[in-house]
Amino acid sequence: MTEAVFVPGKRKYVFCSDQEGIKLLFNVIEQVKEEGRPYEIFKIVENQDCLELGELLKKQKMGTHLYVALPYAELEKVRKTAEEIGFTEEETQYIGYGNKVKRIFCCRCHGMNETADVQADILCSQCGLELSISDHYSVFHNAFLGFVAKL
Amino acid sequence: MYKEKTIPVYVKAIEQENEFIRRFTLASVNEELLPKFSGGAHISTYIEHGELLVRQYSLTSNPDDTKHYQIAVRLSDTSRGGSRYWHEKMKVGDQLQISYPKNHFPLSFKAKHHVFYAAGIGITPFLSMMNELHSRGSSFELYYASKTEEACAFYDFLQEHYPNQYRFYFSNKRERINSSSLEEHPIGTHVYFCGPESFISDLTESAYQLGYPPSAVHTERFTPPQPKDMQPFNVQLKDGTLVEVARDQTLLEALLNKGIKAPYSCRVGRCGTCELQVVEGEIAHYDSFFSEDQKQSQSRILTCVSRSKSAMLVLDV
Ligand code: FES
Ligand SMILES: [Zn+2]
Repeated sequence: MTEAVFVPGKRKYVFCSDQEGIKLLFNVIEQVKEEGRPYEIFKIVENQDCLELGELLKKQKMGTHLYVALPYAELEKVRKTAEEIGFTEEETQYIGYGNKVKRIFCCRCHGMNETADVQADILCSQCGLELSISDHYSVFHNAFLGFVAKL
Repeated sequence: MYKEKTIPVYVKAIEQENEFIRRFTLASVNEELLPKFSGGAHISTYIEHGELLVRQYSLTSNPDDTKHYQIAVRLSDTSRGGSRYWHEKMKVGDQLQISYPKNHFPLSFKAKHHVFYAAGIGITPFLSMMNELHSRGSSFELYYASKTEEACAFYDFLQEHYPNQYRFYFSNKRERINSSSLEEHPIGTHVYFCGPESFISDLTESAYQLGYPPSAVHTERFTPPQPKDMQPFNVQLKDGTLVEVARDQTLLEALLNKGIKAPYSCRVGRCGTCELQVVEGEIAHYDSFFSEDQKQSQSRILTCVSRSKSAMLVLDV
């Protein structure tokens, strides 16, 4: 998703973003204020882990809508955290910005790679192995697993 | 012989749960294991008593134990023969046919926490669901409304098995399930409602008002949802006969009034007995028997609950 859309009729709204991302949520925050609905803003600083955010999300009750606006590379970490707590697709909007690169870690050498084209296989920049990109996201690496493309 | 494949069973035990509710334990006539089922499942029971009585009951027994099934039958004041037969005629040892278990009310596998809201006999589907969650070690709670403590089915059972997971509400003590409890459920909760129509629709509305996503709200109706605004329509039969269906009448009633031998049994859109073929016209389906695909095909109607969207429906009878 590239633009946050105001979803009316929720009991509460939680916004989670960094300095830059908050601009992408500005319109929705204004609408929430206009409707007089409760809301909360959680600021993420660069390379912060999700522990504190997780604590905040766990406290939310049913009927809460979550907006997250972060650089693409940071988005997955938060998505994973929110999903584990129980936020479903219907209750969340993730807005990425910046370079649409995916981080891929190599299954053999654990080297980190970046790619913009997630359809194509890549060559690991560190060990040269040809990698296919999986859906398996690792919080630890903040990257998707690249597995052996040709056996 | 029947609309679906059935299993011959016999009544192994009958227990009086309270003044209005009896529990029946059913076992296969050849002492074989019965099919497995999942929490929230129900069966259709087929009883021949002058006419064929087809009724649906939730399985209240432990899904892991397929030596027996158990159902709980409440004697309905408006019984059209089904619950009355179970209460007044059924004896230990009697045989009958049952369908394979079906589940229109399954547990969500995504939920982090499950909350059941039951009123009266609406408790029945939750028994197997709680059983399943309990053995999985998943977290759940039950909010259960009943007229009185005496009329509260499975009162002892619940206290014994899930001592910390229920709350009772007795209307004779002026206790009511308040929709404000919906405000307290943590994110990741799924709610399940079963009871009278108004109980289900009130809670559903409150949940949506709070902003619950539809996929987290599950309901099981024992009576069909009434279309808000019932419109009269006409049906035409193969021989050209025209039948008018009035606003406050079901298609089935209109056909029977005309002396047409239309089949039926449960009359609440759950058994499929009253199915007729539709040649022309647009059907408004209100049953809980057909699958989405079957409904979409627009070729069959359950006359006891469903109606017409178009002014005229042409039937193949
Ligand atoms: S009579 Fe049972 S579905 Fe119509
Ligand atoms: Zn590598």
